[in-house]
Amino acid sequence: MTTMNAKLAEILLVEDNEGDIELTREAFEDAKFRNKLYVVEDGDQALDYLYKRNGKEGFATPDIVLLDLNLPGTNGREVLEIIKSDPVLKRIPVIVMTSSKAEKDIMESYDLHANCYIVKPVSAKKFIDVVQHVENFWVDVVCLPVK
Amino acid sequence: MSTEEELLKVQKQLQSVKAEYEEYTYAVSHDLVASLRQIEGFSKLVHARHADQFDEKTKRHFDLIVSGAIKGREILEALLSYSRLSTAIKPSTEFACTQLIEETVTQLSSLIDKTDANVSYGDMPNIVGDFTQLQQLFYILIHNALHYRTPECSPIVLIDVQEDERQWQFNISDNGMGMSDHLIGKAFTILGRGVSDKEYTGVGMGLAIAKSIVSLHGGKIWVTSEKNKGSSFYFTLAKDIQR
Repeated sequence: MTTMNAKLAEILLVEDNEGDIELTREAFEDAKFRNKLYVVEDGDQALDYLYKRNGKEGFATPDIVLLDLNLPGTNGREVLEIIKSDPVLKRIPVIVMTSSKAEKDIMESYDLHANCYIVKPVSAKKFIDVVQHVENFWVDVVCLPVK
Repeated sequence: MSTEEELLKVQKQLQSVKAEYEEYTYAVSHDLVASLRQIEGFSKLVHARHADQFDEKTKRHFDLIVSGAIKGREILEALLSYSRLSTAIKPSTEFACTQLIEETVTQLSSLIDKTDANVSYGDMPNIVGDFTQLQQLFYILIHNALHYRTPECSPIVLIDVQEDERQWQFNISDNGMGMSDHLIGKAFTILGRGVSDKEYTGVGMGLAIAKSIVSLHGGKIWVTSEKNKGSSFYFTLAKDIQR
């Protein structure tokens, strides 16, 4: 592990696939900045988390959200739309991470103001690489809004 | 070409497309299921023989390989079952609905015992249709009523029927977890799930299959539901079934 950055990044992962959760966790374990990764497995839990309700009152507002599109219950598109229509939550960068390469999903996500759209690589090693690139960029390079 | 000849030509084309579709679905799903079974089987074998040499992370990775392969196989089998519905219709027969429900309840007996559930129904009519498909329909709806229960109370499932001169209308209601309004509209979609796999396992094909079966029997299916209170599934079956 490289030198620890003092910054603590709070990341919300909205993902229902166990394998992708595991790989994302591993990518964060090796990240060069301090981080706290929270995982919720469906859209309703993501909204409870962001709005601090239904037993999720005590959690911090995340610095970035990693959002899968195909989720049980309230899906990722709906979560994205709600975040980006909220005057406060809309500032949080939302990184869509999905296995869909469909142009419709890409267009729709940007129309709903996703901050970027990433297709999950099939290879586990590449998946970890991509997550680490994403995190380095959004946590280290980018200036995030003050919470 | 006369109208009759044109009609025959279109019917022939339709038959050939249907046959091609069946062959394609069978070949694709068979080969994919075989690959997934191979991953599942050999992963389990390696795990059984060498798990003592694995560290915690590798054990987790292995569990993910196995659970991913199982899930993929389950999804594929459910999709295959869905695609078979329209191509594998048997001639309609008349039978006692009580017999169908009794057999379905027997199939679900271990889940009923496990959840301490109560499944009750009154007098049931003789109905007309494909016994196997209608049993699958009842199985899906009763299974869902038991599976999507709340942790607090044992499932109570009521099956009721009304009729008019054209159709039977069934109602299967439960005291389970229910659905919020915005999920009701998505309940019957292919691979649509209302809850995560961690909370309630499933692949999201049951109600899509149920809808297709009802539609093949000249009926409609719908649901009324309240979150944390329960759901009532309604479906109609035509008495004079034309297929």
